[in-house]
Amino acid sequence: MGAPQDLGGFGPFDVRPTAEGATIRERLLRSPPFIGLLALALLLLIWQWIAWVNTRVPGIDEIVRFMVTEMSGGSHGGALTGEFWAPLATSMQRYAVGLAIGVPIGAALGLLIGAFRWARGLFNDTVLVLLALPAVVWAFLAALWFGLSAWGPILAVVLTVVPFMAVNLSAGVRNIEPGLIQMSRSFDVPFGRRFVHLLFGGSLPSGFTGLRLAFMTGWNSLLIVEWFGATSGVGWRARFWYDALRYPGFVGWIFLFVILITLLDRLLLSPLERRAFRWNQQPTLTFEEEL
Amino acid sequence: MSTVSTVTPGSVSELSARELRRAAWSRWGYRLSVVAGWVVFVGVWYLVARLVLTPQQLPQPHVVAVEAWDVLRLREFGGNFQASILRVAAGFLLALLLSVGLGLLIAYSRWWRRLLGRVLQFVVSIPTVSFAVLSLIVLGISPMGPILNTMIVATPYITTNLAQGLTGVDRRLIVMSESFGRTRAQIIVGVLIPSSLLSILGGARLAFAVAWRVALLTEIFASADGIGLQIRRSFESYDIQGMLAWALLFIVIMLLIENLVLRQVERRLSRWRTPATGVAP
Repeated sequence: MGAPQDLGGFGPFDVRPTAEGATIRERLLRSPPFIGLLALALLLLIWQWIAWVNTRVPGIDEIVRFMVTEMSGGSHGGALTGEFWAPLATSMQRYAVGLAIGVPIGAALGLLIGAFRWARGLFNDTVLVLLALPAVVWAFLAALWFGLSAWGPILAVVLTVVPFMAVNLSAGVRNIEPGLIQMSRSFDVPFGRRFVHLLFGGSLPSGFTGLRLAFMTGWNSLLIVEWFGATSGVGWRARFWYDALRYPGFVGWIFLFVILITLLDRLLLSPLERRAFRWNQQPTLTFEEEL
Repeated sequence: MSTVSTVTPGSVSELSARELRRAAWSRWGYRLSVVAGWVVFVGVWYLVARLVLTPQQLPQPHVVAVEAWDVLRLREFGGNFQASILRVAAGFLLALLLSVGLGLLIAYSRWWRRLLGRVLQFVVSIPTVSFAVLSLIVLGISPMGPILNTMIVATPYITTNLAQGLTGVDRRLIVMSESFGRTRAQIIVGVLIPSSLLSILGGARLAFAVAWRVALLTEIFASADGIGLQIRRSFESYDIQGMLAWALLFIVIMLLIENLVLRQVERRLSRWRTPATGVAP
């Protein structure tokens, strides 16, 4: 993924005027929450259809039943008992530590690269190399360096988060209106204030875009590294059920993994990004929701 | 803080000479810092490899380079690479076809556009590794996994940019063609396709960047051949230099395709107008 650009299609393409007195039913059909639900239902329906066609694939009812047992700590048959909160808490902890280390480093690097030419020459290529390496390479390296300890997943999160933050923030700094920089120079605004209001304020929107991408890719590489080299966490639990040929458990944990990041993105990151962009432009990575 | 000095012709030329020298110095300084950056990168790699980690954990750069040369000459790089790249290409082609279909729906009605926008938004927000893992049980170990996942991941990018491109078509051109009695097919071939081609290409480049990573990931989880399987095999036999060599070779080739071939095609086709870049969905 390169640095994201501005908002994509789905703009005012259809120029037909909207009907003036739309009925309640029509308004409901057009309301964003309804369309969101419909989109979700469509995806679930596709899954259920695959489950009907392919006997190896568990249906949604099986997945839900399995996950309820898992959550309540009941028996899955034999000596296998449900485990839910422990793997989840472990993964969350690793994710939080990785982000807490990676985001500030990436942000500092991005501001440096954006603000100073020498820093750009020095670090830009390295950051691009880090960005180009797929998360799976980091996951494997981290697993081999730290074995089964908790530091492998954390390092993998840090290493995927840093380049995303750095690339987006430096792009943000470079996109700051040059006129503003010149003006602040001519008016002899002290460096500290220039840093806070101009550099930091101006790059904030792309910083949030970077943050969003970083959260998503960090979560991604956490799952990979836990799948291949951990004895706890969401990724490990999914792998555990896969190896035990209990596909509902495996799919259930993968779905949970998707649901968690989607919720985080929808409830926290996306509104933050929208807010940060409100003063000048539209956010990236979203489809237009007006009309 | 600045004082106004009197300007004479002599002082102007002196000043500009000094400015020129400073500009030249800063250009060289920049190049120097780029070189220094690479030296630091390789140097840190050497330091970490020699002092912090064992060679079994991180081989030194030249060892990896030699290994890569070995892989290229002796270990069936061609066959595995062909398998991988063909899957990416097939998935990409399917994504293009699907995008055209979805594009028709989008052009057909506003309601469909909104619904599809939402669906694609959901798909984009799903971490790519989940597709890789899910293809394990839906398809098992099969070459269809990388192909389908490439398609799923590339489609939102291409469709978004297709919609974007169609939105950007100059409406007056269509009206004019209509008044000159052009047929529908002529308008599509002569106006719609050329005007939206660039943004489609921009989207295709972005999609490609995501697509080959997903294909690689899927091969690592569920494939009987290809570069991904070789990387996984090396990892599972603790052969780090092999793993790094396979991965770096593939990544370098993919980045070359991404940045040289696709960008060049885009530049060539965009000579007649201002360039458009791809848009992330």
